[in-house]
Amino acid sequence: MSNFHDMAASNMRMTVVVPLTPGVLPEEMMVEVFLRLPIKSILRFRAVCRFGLRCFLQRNFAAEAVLMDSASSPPKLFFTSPTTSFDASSVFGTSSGPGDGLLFTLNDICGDFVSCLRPD
Amino acid sequence: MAAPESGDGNNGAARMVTLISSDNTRFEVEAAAASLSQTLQLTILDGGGGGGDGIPLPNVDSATLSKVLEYCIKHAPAAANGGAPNATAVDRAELERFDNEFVNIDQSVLYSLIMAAHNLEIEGLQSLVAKKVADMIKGKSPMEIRRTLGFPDPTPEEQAEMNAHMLEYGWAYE
Repeated sequence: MSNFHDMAASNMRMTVVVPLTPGVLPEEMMVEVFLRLPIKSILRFRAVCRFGLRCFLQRNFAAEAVLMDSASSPPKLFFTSPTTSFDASSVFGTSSGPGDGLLFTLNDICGDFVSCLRPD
Repeated sequence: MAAPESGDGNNGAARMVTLISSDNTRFEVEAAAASLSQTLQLTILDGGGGGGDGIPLPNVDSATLSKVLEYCIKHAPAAANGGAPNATAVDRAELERFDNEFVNIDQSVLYSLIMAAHNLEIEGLQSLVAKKVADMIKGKSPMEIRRTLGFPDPTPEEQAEMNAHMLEYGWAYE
């Protein structure tokens, strides 16, 4: 069975990795790092740990990411899956400013039916 | 009669404060530079850290503190100008050059710096080190990210989650 390491090896150059930290970084600093990553790295990061996953569920992450982005980038929709099994999708709007945040979450996609949850 | 220059003297000469590292080294530095730290700012505004007192920093060793202060001293003038709206392009380029050079350091030093920037709440330095870490992570696989950030190797359950994620989001791994 092809495990994760093999897949990683085939897709990416392997490098020798020196650990940055003897311990895990403080949460606020991890968020600061997150905010400066491109989307591919953010997605990979989400696979790294539960913390990464949790970060995405916090609406202020989306809001802060928008703030960080707003000067230079066109409006975006930000899709993320709020469950560990990746069977739901949350959509964040990032078009008009930090206020718009979470738009809706799609759940339980089954045949023609989908449950759509809106905040509030 | 009070000499008029006594008031000027207080304002004219830059006020100094003393910071004491965890290994008891004393650093004398301009209050304006030390005030880049949100943590220290209030103490300094209240008049602390002057004279023989000194502000103890039990979480920061002398090697790290001297590095942190190097950053603060360099950035203090721009910060005092409210982000230096009238700074010349040359000044800004010089600060950028300094910043790039500043984080071109050994990983263990970087880690101490991250912790100090966090503890002392020095906003610019927090951004700088976060950007450095982000640059280190870009293009790495989840496994490499884990190792870079010092996470323990994944449990079988976490490994399964990582595999599932990788199948789901193949494009993120190209």
